[in-house]
Amino acid sequence: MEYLVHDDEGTKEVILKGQLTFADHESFGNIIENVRSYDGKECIVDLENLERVDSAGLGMFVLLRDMANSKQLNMTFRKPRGQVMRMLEISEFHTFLTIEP
Amino acid sequence: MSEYFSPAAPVHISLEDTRVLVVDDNEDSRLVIRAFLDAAGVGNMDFAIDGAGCLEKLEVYKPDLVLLDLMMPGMDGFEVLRRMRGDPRYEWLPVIVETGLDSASNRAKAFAAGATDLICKPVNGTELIARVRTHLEKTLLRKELEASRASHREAVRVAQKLQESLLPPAGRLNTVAKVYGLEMDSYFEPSEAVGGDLWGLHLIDENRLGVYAVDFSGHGVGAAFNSFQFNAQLADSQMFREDPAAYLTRLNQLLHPVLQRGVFATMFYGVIDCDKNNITYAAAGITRPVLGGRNGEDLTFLDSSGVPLGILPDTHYENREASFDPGTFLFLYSDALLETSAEKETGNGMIGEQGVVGLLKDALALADDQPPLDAMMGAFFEMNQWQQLEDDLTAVWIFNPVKKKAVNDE
Repeated sequence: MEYLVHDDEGTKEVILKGQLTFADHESFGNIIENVRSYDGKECIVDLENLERVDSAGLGMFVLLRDMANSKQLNMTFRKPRGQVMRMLEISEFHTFLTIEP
Repeated sequence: MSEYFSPAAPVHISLEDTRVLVVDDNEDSRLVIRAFLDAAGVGNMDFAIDGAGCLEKLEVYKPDLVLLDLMMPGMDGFEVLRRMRGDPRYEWLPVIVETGLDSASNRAKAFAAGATDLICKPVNGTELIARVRTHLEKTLLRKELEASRASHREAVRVAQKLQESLLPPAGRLNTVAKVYGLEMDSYFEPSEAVGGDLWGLHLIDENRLGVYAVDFSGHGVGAAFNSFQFNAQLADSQMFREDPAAYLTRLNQLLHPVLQRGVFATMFYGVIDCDKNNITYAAAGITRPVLGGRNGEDLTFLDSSGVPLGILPDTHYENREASFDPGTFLFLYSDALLETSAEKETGNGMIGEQGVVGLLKDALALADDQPPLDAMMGAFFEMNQWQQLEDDLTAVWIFNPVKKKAVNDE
């Protein structure tokens, strides 16, 4: 997985690219720490370029969401597609994550 | 200059327990080297005065390092090196050769014969100590790494064994199948790292059989331990076995407080009613089971959506129904089947659901009246080019044969 994190007019944006799997545990930890240190109120996780996620990757979304909840940060997962969208759907992540098309 | 790399940084590993064999025909040289090795902190030394003596001592003394003089009467150092490197026991044993031959071509010859390092005569004490220390420390670290790998492999092997012991053995599967007039088969292939797959059966009453499949996220001994713990939680929840939705709701309540955040389990639990020929099931985000005709027709995916167990404290699951008429099979499988690379066949990497359906249809056609799992897994591993799996692979086949219905009709 590759990622880009930047702040843009009061919004933190995390852009994920490639495949998010078990092997990305450490770099995803860096993303979580990066977002944790952010003082704003909005965070967007852009999934448009994420091609694949496995169950460990879904677990990382849960960790990110837990951290956001703990500091009242509004987090939106945006534009999942293909296999990523199917994984989110089958796991009914929309019931506890904000997911936008 | 560079602050990143500092080769002289001392590691200070004790050489007290190391053993060095010094092979030199000159007594003065042996005495000088002994003094240097003492200064280096080498705890044990032994000496040989020629090549033949060296080869004998290797077996009995089992040194961690050999200091070998190349020029000796009789068998010289080159021949000793060649013999040592031809013996798998001494393949990795570090050998520092001492030689007065300091031309480039002779150095090359010594390395070609298998020397690990080289020191020129007359021996410089500081240089000898530094080289001996470097190679002994490397040997010690390699031994430590090997021991740690062996202990990790053993832990994984034990975890794999325990995990497999939780699965229904083939004999029990056949007995249960006979009792319910079904045909059953299963396949389990643990990954190198141990995944967290688990499946099993609950014999509810004479007509109803419960079947569950669980997959813990992540890999490794941790995932295996989660599945052991889960096995106990299944036992603690047996009063809910007749009602799949209640069963999953209960299991989620038990798992949520004990699972590490970010770790969860996907699950399918279905109750097959052999009298009513239907399946009542609940699911928590597991790979979609396939239901279809034994002839390979009318293959459909069951809706297995649901929040995986352990993520939220209060998830409530729902019961879903599917007919399980005679001639119909149910196929459960873990995500290793979907998420295995099949570059050649799919062009885009993973086998995916359509790939699974393809494999299943081919196997149904090929297996004739037999359960299709053997044929299917054979084709799967061929696709995968027999590579080690990154996750556990579980597959379960349950078939409701037509014959049973005919008997019931009589």
